Amino acid sequence: MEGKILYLEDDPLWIQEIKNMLDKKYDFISVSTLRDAAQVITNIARKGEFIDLAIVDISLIRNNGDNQDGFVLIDALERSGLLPEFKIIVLTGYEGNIRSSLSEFDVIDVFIKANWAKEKESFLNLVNNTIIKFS
Amino acid sequence: MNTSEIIVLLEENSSWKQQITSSFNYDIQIMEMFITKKNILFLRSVSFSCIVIIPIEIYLLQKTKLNELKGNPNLYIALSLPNNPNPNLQKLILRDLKVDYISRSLTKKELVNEINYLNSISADRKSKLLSKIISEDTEITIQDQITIFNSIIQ
Repeated sequence: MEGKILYLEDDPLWIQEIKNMLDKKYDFISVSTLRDAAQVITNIARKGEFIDLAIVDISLIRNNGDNQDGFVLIDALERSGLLPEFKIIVLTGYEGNIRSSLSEFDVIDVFIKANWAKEKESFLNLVNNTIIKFS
Repeated sequence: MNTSEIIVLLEENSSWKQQITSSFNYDIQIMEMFITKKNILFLRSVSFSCIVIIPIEIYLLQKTKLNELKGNPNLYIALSLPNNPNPNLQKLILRDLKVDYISRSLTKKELVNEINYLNSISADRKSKLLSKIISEDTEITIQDQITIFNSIIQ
């Protein structure tokens, strides 16, 4: 496996979509709640390892339609230094002014689910290039 | 005592106290205090000039509370950093505190120069140097990072 990728997403269809795309090549871990994400990242860090890339959905609908758990995860990863080089890609259905909301964070790129058909390939290229660049 | 010769260490840190005390030829008053509501209120209102040294680990965990100190122009807030800080941490400090530079490892002589400089600058320049960073000989461990991470998640 070429790298460890964590995907924070609560929608099973999206989890399957991204898993199909990445899990043959990468150590792919999906989590559907902030708490699970924290547990996985903590366990990995305790082994002295880090995840190589985080793909983050912003609003986890199952928990609370208006929550911004993804922002909390990004903030925690940035401040703690548990994700070296800030390798975070946002994949969200949250359109609006998502880019400006994320401007204070140093994420690599933002993908909107509604544009997935035309952005799928560039998403995959970005994931591959990011893992190669930092590994 | 000249009021500028006061350093407040916002945690009990005997090694720091020893390093600072032994670095100066004259008496310098060092107050060590834990971050409590009472102490923060006290520091927010002090009318004398002093340098407040906060370890980066403590700052990250108590950021909201400690940012209240920035409102008092009599305080020079200095974050102590490990010798080889994580680049992410440097980015965070630059972004949050809007300082011009972050520190390198300081020898004892450099530490003296740094604190003497802070003590000697004129009032108008002081306002431009509310945040200043110096380094110390500690490392942020993985456990520290996990603690910071989980404190934000919760």
